[in-house]
Amino acid sequence: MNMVEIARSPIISLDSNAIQNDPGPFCMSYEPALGPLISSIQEFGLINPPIVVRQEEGRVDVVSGYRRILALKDLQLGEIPCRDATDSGLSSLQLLLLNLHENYVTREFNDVEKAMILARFVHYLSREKVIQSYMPLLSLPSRESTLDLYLNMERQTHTIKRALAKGEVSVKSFEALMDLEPGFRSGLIKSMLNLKLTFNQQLQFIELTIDICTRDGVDIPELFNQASFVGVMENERLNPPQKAKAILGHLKSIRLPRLTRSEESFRRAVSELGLPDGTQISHSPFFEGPDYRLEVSFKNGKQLKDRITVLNTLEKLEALADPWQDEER
Amino acid sequence: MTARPPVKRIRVEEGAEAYSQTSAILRRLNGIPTEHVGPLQPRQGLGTLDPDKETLRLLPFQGEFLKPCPGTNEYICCGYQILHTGTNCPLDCSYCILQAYFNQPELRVFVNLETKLDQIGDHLDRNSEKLFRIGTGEFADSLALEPAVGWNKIFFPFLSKRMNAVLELKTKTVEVDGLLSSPWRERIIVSWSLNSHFIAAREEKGAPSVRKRLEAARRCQDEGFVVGFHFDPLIEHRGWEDAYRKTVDVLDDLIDPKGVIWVSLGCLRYMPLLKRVIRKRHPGSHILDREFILGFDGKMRYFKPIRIAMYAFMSKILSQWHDDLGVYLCMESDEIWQRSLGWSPENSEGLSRYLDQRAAKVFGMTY
Repeated sequence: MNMVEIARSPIISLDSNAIQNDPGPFCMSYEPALGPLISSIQEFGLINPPIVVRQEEGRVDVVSGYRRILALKDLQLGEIPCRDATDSGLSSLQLLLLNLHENYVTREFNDVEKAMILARFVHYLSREKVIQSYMPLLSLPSRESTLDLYLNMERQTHTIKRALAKGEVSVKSFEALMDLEPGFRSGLIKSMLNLKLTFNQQLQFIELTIDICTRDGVDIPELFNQASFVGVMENERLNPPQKAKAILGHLKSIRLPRLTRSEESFRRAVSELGLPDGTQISHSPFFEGPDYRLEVSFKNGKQLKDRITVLNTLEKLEALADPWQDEER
Repeated sequence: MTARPPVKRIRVEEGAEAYSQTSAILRRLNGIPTEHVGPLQPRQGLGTLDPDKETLRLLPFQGEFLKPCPGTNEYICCGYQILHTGTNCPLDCSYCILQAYFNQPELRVFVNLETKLDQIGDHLDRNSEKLFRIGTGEFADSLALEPAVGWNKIFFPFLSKRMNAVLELKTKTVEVDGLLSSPWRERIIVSWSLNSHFIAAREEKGAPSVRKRLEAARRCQDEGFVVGFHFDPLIEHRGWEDAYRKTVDVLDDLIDPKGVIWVSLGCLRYMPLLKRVIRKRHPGSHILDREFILGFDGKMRYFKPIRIAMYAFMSKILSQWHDDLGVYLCMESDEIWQRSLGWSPENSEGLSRYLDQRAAKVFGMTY
């Protein structure tokens, strides 16, 4: 029996309880959103019956239509119409490919689903074949390290997978966490989710945390149990973005104390200058460049002249010095 | 006595058999299991992070053998020319930049270099007004494999005919016997990468101690070689001032400063990508602990006041040893030069001129 013949095979009814609730060995949907599908089935019925295979031990695995089965179970249908591919003669790999291609043409996979697909393929195919043939199909670079990253993703807890699938944690952040012990990894991801960090903030958060813990020989819970962090996290007057900014700022001050002191000192010195409206003074990133920058915005020449005149009379301007000089030992 | 490098297997890559350098190396390493192999497929990504420092791969190199050091416009570069003899070395320094080139493991030796020397010579001759400061220590330790590869037998006679080039061999090893037994001395600089004893012991795995390096330098000096030193990377660690002072004390014990052509200083810097490699390959290392910022060249480097303090201190203790050591900074800005050394070559051309003049003075060349 080939794929076309399966699609034409008679429809059988299976007790919904007999069909596995998990995706099984062939399906690649991770916690799909079922709302639109349920509405569609309610309105138009099941247009395309799922394909299943019955395993020797009595288990029924879904080959195609996993989301439809979840939707039908949600609608509490006792009997589910399916096509039975048990005697199709197709190998497990062919059944897996059937599912992949059916999904591939109709939707995009999230990263956890890509991880599920790769984990299934390495079971049947050489790593080399998976890297060369299937990773490009999933829009992933053909690299061993990327394959390892996704195989590792497949082994994570549901909390982590869910965060990745929903796009709350970036793959880059996950990669940065890969070398941590599982417990610490989960803890950091939980904190990142609580703080609703942007992807850039996540990377900063991870790097600063690992740097500090490595340098100071403390573990991650020990660091975040410090009163300064607990105070921010439990401060009800701060919203998540404010907490995120405060936490990141505090981590940076621990990791880069001299730079942080210099930046604060510079901010203080500039604020004490009494600059006229529409002017600001900034430093190069990390003070790496030798120059500072004065920006003056103005509506016309007269306003520019006025602002320059005010600048010219600022007594403290001449005293503005490199704030980092104090950090030379 | 010269020890054979710790090579456990040799891979002769397709096309390498034709070169006499291959035969010479195989002869010197007689008895080590050898296999003939095809070209290595580059690894992608971080892979296993295994640099395989026990395999010597002999291969023909298809790229340019003589290339300018890949400096950047943002920092002042010394204008060094790299003679590409191979990549990787048997030492395992935690900070080594070569760890980032994990897609090309094994100790790679380019056996066709000898056949390209005429081309390189033509290039030097066509630019006879220019002084070429050539070095082999950028992608490999210049001397770590010398007992096996014997580059001195090839380079030294070549260099003896080239009046507008000096060759610098940079090393952390004591593999100088081959050099000492050669009759050539002119326009050859043997230089050592130095650090504090603490850093050398903890972060430069497989490298001889600082004293042993300087004893080898002393032997070279005694035998008429010009020597140089490179405090690169300078690493901020607890008690670094005293620690580096002790290294300068050993220099003072063993080396005649009048025979030193130059001493470079460079604070630790690394590509951001290297951080994860260092953490994985050297979990006990503390070199990443201090304050790094992203420099203009995309590399991480110490926050400016730290660099200034380290350079100023090193400059001070080196000048207390001798006042004409040709101290220069590697890949630093005009501002850092001014603030730490009190002068600046202003740009890369200025630094090249300064180092050319040092070479010309030491070797009696007219540039």
